[in-house]
Amino acid sequence: MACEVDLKGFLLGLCCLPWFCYAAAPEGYVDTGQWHVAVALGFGQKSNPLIGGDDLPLLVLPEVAYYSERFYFDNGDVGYTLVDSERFSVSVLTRFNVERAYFSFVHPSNILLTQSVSQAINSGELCVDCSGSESDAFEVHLPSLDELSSRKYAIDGGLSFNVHLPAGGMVRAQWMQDISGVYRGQNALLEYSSGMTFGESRLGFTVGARYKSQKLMDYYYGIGPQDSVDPLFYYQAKASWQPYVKLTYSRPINEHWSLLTLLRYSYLGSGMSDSPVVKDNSTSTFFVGASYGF
Amino acid sequence: MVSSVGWLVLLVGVVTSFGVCAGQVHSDKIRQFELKPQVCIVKKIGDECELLTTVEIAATEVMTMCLVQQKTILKCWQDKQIVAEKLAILLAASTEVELLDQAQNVLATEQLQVNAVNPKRRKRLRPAWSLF
Repeated sequence: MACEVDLKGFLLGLCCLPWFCYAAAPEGYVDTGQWHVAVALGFGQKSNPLIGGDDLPLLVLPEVAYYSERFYFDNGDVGYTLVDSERFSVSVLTRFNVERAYFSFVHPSNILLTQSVSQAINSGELCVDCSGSESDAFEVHLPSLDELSSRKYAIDGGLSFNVHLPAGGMVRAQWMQDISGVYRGQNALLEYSSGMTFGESRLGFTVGARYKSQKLMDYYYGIGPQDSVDPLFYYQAKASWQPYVKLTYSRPINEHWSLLTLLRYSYLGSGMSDSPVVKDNSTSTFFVGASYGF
Repeated sequence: MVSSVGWLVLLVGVVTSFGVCAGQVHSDKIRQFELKPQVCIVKKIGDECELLTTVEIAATEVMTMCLVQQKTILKCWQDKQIVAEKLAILLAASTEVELLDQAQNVLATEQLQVNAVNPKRRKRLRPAWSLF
């Protein structure tokens, strides 16, 4: 939880910095009508599962939230809460779909090879550089990433159901639909998050799974007529369940700074990892640094 | 902006713990007195709540101590130097609890708060740092 930008409440604010004082800032609550801003500086990266993809560097992490009685902005989610009680809430929300981010960190010259084409080359039915060859194999041109059409960012809109458990944990279920007409599919989330306090340190724990529909997966990771490649290389991606686990450790250093460590691992599922543009079946994220609460 | 002092603190890895959440210690016999959490949330002012809190006491010597809430003994520890245990405390309003020795000297105090669900406070819908 980040501290609000409110000099008037400075003294109270001392106890509202990221997990600075458990007692004065009940975990899971946020004061309305104020911006809650924190920035973490350090080193980390998110692995990029795409062929030729560079890992995404994480040097500066923002944490920004603003809640009013019904409206809220929380780390990219813009929502309106329809039902709000101590134990349960229902919200409509919208946000950018970040699937496209992986494509910003790839070397476009990397060659793509589907499994079927690879098998055909191995069996001699196809050849890549046939000059001087006496075989009857068909010659194929192996496409590279830069021959694929550009993937666009999408905007999702949907519903979020939050259940706040008596022990302090939270269950979050979301159903999101592409409302920007980019991939025209859906994604969903089921997640449980909780935390424990050890002295002044806090360990946050999240486990969940994200569902990505066939249309979403196919738009980003499939290869089809929209791409300027031989139909031999067409690939239709399948829907995917992507379970993940995340750990967050925080310990205050002083009134503004806290040590912060984030670890996240996600399994991508065969619906994504079978794609010729994907080389890994999982992604991992880590970050070690210090957060500053304003 | 990151101050040079801030970076220095970060680089050398010096982790200091500020005692803003610890209780007020009134005696040299007590090194540490802390109740966590100290806040109980109720729906409206006047409602009672049961605060399940962890009591941590570190004394400089073995002694008998009692935790007292408005002259009512919550718990006593006989011949103890270190105490770390969970305690359920019934609260009707914000109150102060005292740690007394056998001679009923006040060794330390701690303020426990009862807060009503603030209409200007609501449940957060995403875990912190959940963007990554």
